[in-house]
Amino acid sequence: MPRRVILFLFVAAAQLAVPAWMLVGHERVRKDGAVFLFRTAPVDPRDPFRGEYVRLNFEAQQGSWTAPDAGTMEYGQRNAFALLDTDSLGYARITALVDHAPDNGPYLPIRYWTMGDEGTVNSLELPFDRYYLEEGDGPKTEALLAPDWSSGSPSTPLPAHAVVRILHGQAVITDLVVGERSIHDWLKDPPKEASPAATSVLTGS
Amino acid sequence: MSEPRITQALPELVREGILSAEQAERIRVRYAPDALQGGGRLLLVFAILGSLLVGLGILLIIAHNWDDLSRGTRTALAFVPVLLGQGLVWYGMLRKPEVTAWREGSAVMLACGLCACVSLIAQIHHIGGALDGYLLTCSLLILPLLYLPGSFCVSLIYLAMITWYAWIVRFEHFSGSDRPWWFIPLLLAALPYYLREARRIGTSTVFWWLSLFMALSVGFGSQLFYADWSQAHALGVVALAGAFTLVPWLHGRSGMRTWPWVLVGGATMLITFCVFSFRPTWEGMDGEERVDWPLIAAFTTIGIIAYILSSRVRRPFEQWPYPEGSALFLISFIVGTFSPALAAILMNIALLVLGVFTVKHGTERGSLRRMNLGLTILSATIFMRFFDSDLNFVVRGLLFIGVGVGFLFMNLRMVRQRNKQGHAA
Repeated sequence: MPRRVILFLFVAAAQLAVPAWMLVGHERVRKDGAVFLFRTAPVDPRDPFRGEYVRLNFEAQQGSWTAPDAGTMEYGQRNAFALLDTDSLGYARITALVDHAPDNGPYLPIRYWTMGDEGTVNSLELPFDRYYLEEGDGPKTEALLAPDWSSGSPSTPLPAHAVVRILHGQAVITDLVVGERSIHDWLKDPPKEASPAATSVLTGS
Repeated sequence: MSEPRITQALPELVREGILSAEQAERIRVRYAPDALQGGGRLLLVFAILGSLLVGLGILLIIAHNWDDLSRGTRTALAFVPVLLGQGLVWYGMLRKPEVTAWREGSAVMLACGLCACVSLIAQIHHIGGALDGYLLTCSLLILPLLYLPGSFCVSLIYLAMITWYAWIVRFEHFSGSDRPWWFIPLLLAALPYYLREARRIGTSTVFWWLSLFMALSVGFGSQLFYADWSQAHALGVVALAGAFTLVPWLHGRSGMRTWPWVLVGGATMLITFCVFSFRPTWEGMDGEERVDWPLIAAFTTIGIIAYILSSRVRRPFEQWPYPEGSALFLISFIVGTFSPALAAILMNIALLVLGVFTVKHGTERGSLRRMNLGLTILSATIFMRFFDSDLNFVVRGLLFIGVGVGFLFMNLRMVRQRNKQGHAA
């Protein structure tokens, strides 16, 4: 067998190893990670390569935290680690931002913007921001969570949260729950009278 | 006359005594590789197009997401396009190593399969992240295909992908501190492939396209490392553009199709000159911003070194005047620091000089294309001045007529000259 062909076999193995490694890491988090619920409001965009998804805008991203490097900040983007806890209702919340990954307790790597020497962070980016759906389900999901204006005044949208497993700073979204039901159940079995918003959207009216 | 036809006409030309047998043999050798490839050219095009369509089709089918399938099934399916592509590449390398259609078709299929696989894994696990991360991963995965099996089409996809990646990193985070640092090793990784192809098929059309993508990639990518944009940054742009226009003199091998470097460098220089021929561009020059000066100095140094190296085999203004244009811009920049109006006038003079020299080279070589390019530079310079002058309509009209007549006269003159030369021969 020519040397080039043997070399290609190594290349092929490396090419397979990269996506496989992505899989292994995520499966480990999915299996062993601690469960956190992140309150969210999805919107529907598309990725040119990866298809349709709902972008998740989490409540936990907004707040007021002391910046880990307060006093030495310039305008720009910074990386840090968010320490996690749950509130009285069982939803995830960020308790503090730190420079280095903690030895114990759940945490996530995050990014935030500094606007000058303010020392306070009010908004940050979590390492997960999307939930992929089958083609056509993105707009339905977004509309399901939007307020309904048909009666003249806005209805309250259904509450939603993402189920996220977290292990050693790695996170995997395992489900998107809307009004106590998985989004997949909503899309497979749209209720007739569940809520004005849900009914109008899922029947396409 | 296309190249294969030349070789077909050789026996007749020898019979008629126009060529000696020795000359005919030299021409046959010169065009032999192309003639050999000619038969498979159509097959090659269809193999590449077919693979590309199948690969993109797989990407689109995968983008549907297929929610009804289980996670395990979708994960297994994600690897099918990769394994299929790898199988085809392996078979091609083992059984059809000389068939270009096999090499290109299978490599394109594998490249698409790899991109599709990463997409599907991201879908199944709801992995976030921006497009730049995805492009970086895919670029790294398809990079080996430039060398094994050595695909020209994948090299173009790769260069486009890394340039796109650099663009996104820079402009999606423009006010941040992000720079596309990965672009540098990724580009360097493609360099041995480019140099190898230059030695192997430097005179072919394939290499022309590779040169074009390389020039665009280097040109765009190199300008994405600035912290900000000001007039001073144009110095770096013009110096590098000048170096690009000197590439044909730097490799020292005649017939190599490195013209795209000149094309990209010349076009960049002309556009920059046109922008700086307006006086407001020079106003408000700010000497405060010093953070990018090392980078600007590095690009200028590259331009100077290229000029010095090429000066051993090139006289000033030989072939095209663009390398000298960098020096004209540098002078204008120095003048611009104390007199914007004078700098704008100098830029206009520089454009006129470039135009005149291009027309001169065109007429000397009987090249209608180059002569018309020179005339276009000259007339564009005149027309641009309409925007910042208060000439009345009559004068503008006369100028339009004058330029139009100039174009017609020069073209007719050259066509007549060509006809005369044809009759004399």
